[in-house]
Amino acid sequence: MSEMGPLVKVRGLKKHFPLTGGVFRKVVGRVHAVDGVDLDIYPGETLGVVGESGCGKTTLGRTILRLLDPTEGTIEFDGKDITHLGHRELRHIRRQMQIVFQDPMASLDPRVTIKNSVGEPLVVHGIARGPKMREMVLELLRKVGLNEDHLNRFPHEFSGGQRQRICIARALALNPKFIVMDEPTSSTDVSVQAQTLNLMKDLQDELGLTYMFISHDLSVVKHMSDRVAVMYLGKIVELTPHDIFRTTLHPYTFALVSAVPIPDPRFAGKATILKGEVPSPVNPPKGCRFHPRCIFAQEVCSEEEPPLRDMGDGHLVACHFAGALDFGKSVQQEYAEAAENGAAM
Amino acid sequence: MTEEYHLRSDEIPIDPSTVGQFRVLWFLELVVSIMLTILGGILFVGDVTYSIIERLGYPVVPPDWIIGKFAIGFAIAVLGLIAVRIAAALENYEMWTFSALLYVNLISAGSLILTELSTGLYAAVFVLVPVVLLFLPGVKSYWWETFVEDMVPRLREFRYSMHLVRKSPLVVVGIVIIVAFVILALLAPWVAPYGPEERIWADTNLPPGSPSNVPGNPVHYWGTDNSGGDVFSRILYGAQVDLRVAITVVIVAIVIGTFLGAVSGYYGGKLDELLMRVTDVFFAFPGLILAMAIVMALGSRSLENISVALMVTWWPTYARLVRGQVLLEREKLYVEAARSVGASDARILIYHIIPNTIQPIIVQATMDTGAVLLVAAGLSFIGFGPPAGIAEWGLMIAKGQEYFSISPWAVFFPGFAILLVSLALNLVGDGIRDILDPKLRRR
Amino acid sequence: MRLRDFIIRRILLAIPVVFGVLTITWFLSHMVGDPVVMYINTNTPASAIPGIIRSHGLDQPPHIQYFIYLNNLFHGDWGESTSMSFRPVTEVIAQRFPATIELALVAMVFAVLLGIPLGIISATRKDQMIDHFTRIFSLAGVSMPIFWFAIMLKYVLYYQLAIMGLPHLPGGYRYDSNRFYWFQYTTGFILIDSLVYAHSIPLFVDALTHLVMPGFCLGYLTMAIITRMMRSSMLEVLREDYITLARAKGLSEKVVIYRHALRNALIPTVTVIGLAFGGLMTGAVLTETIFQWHGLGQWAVSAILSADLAAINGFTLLVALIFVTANLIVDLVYGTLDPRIRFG
Repeated sequence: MSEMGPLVKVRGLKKHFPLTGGVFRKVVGRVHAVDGVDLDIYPGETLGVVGESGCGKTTLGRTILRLLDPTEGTIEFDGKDITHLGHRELRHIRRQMQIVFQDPMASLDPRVTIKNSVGEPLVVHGIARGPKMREMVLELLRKVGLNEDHLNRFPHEFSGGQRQRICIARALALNPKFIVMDEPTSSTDVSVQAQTLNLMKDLQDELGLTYMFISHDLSVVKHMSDRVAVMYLGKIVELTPHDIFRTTLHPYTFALVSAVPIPDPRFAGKATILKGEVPSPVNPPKGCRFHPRCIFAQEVCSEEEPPLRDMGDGHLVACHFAGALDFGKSVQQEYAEAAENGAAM
Repeated sequence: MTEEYHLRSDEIPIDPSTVGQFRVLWFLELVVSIMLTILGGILFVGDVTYSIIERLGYPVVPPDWIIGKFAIGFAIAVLGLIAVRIAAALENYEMWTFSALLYVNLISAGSLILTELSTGLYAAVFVLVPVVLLFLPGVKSYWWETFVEDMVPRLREFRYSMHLVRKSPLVVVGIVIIVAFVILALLAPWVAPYGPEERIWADTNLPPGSPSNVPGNPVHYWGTDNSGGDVFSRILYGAQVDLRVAITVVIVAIVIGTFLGAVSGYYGGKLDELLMRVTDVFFAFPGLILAMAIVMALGSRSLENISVALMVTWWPTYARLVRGQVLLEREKLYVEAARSVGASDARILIYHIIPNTIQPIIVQATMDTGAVLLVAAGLSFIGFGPPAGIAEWGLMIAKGQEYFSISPWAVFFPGFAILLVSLALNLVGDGIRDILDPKLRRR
Repeated sequence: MRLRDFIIRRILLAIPVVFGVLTITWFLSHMVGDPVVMYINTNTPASAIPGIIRSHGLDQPPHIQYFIYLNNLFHGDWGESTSMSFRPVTEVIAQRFPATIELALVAMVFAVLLGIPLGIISATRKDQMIDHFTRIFSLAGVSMPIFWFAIMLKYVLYYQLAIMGLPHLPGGYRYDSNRFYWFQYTTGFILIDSLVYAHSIPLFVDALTHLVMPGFCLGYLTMAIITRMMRSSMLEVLREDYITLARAKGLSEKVVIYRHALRNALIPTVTVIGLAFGGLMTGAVLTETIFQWHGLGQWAVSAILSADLAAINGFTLLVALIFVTANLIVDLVYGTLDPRIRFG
């Protein structure tokens, strides 16, 4: 895929939120939600982004779409710098990049019918209105598995999965190239989740879409993504084109992977649980951000911040000892091997 | 940017045979809009100018038809300006204009009738002509289908609300009382046996149900007051006066408050800070006392000045309410979703945020209509209202009070009317709060 | 934000409000009439008027006049009340303030003693007969034209009973001045003066009976507001998980309601009580007029009707200041009562 230039190119992106306090509401600190992210997303691929809640993955997605204004750094879309675009140009560029939010109920206006919600992008950009808009909305709804009966209903008349498909239809309305999926399935139950994920994959193949797929669920991300970026405290610590459950080079990723529960009693209690809490993003630790919780931490880790290094074949890791650490086998790996050998269950 | 899209901006196909009908509609709407703007402007600017000149101490006698018309004049002028925008968009066959024209022209016609001027009545008929033209077959084909389709789900929701209303007896009782009073007020000239300021000097202080001492006169259902006025008739005419004051005050307060509250809530910053401090100042004054001072400052004691004073004291309530709601809605995901598809600020505010804040406003407005009624009656009770003789509930109580040992009914009935209407409005407001609450609706 | 910062911020925010109030009263007073009237009376010789105008700076440009006005206010010169035989406004306020406060406090006692239990009963017996009754009763309180209610109360409890020769409540004034002709105010609070200074139990009882009708009349609206607030906050609290938990633990309904629910349900009610105090000042205007109660409200009405500028200004300003202070106290109390509040 890398023979083409990246569709989205992010360099040194930072997004800080000011914290106010005191009598005069002065800025007393900053939340370093996204703190220096470099990222390339190539046309047609799905880039998964994982991390614990509060690691800045959602903020990253929104900042790339310029729904939030970046504090520092540049965002290029399709070779064009969009970091400082004004309202008008931004409106134009938004035809090509869309977002599907985590909570489909909240992201649909409760007083607007599905037809008008899905058709809003068409109206706003002057593409179609009236009967023509209706026709196009219907086509979009059919694409996500809904039909004409659903056109004139309100969001509250649908199930969670249907709502999420409506949101996807709205995101598709402008025929974008790039869609950020912000935990699109975290509020639906598992059976619906699989359906929605498969729909997204089908749509991607059909329309040649590029996804940025944000989730905290490692197995979902693995299922969906070509490459996976792991975020910790506003930074990307590992970016891998490989199976995240098998080859991990960063201790944090390994810890994440090890924490995924396994549906097999023989492996019970073997999962390694990460010690300690995520440090406050207001005052992130010096040096490597993971060092206070890292079992391999050495002196250098608390002083120098490790850069994101290429370990060959596009596998990027931000760890001073990347490749030199022996994690042993994670329970997941053992389980997977056991499953392959036909010994599981 | 070089990519091709399968969706392309396209014009609505225009049937050449309809162009003529369109031109007529467009031209008429243009005339209507200009007429509305000028007419409203005259009423608004005229009334305000006269009041200012009067305040400056110059002896002027404003023509009768202009007195107290500033609020309705302002409303008509604003509607006119909206109509200008519609007429301009009509030229380009823009989709939204058809339903907008329908609504705006109907509201304008209603406002024109409310001016109670004969010119207003003619103008109202004229404003309705473009509405009729909308239904010409050539024009109808452009909008009717979409309009009907969009109405169906709304009607469905409305019917469901009605179903919920029917299930709560207190709301039904409230609605019945309000509707009854409104109808009686409108039909007062036909229903009331006596005129509003008619005095039957032979019939002073008669108890309820007494026949008139003047042969051939109708029975005094609720008795007469000390100067021979028929209490029942005067209450019916008083309903006209009191309800109009209460409703105009609330509407004007809502319009001003919603505009300021929405803008300051959505944009925030310095403007917001300033507006909040101003509302703080208004909240620091108890409503009745500030209203009394404003009536005095306006120079003369009259219902018009009571209305103005109450508008001045009431708008901060709505500014606060709407601002709070907007702040709440602004953070909702659907607003961000609308922004992410490229909707403009104005569109988000008008199309998404305001409709979602309207429910608490309706509830507040219903209850406030009762509250304004109480305060307005209270103001005219202590002598800030119209001169003696006018049929107005608060004033009737004030006058009746002087003789209340002789004719207590002259105090009881007007006060009871106030209580009943105000209670009904509160019952409805309280009830629809639950009915409209999306959390309690079907899910 | 810490509590200290919150308090400082809240007080700082009250300053522009007070200035806004001052400015508005200044504007209103200049619109109602010529401010010279505040400083002259019938005994003022015509030749002295230009001197008065000059000495009070009324020949100065408006912004200077505004500062002079503020300066006078801060030095305790609030003008003279023409309707009160040209006594200084501050003196009239000092004399009449206790009467209004006494009435307002009695009204508040009525409102709280009736409103809170009614609210609790209504919430715990939701949708039962007593709940419907309470709701209508409290809605009627919100919808009641207070001046009419006062007249009707007076008609039944005073006039009709008196005609029938039955024991009745007095129909106006603070005490029976024919019976207690010797009485002189000391603090102005008649309930205190009668016991502490006049040592007269009959006077105390008489004053109390005089307080019953206007007090109840004035308190009805506040009571209605408290009942409604108490009911809704109680219902809300009863839906909380910790109440379900308390019930699940097997605690008796009484303990659940009075130990666990009431404490939290009271917090919003307390703030409403504070805010309602300002509302009582409004109600006092109408109530005092009807019950010939020589308080601030009655003075305000007669002042406005006779274009007594200094009195209007003084009264409006005073009430606004009470309002601002009450709001401030409510905010602070709310902040300390509710640990969840984060002083945003």
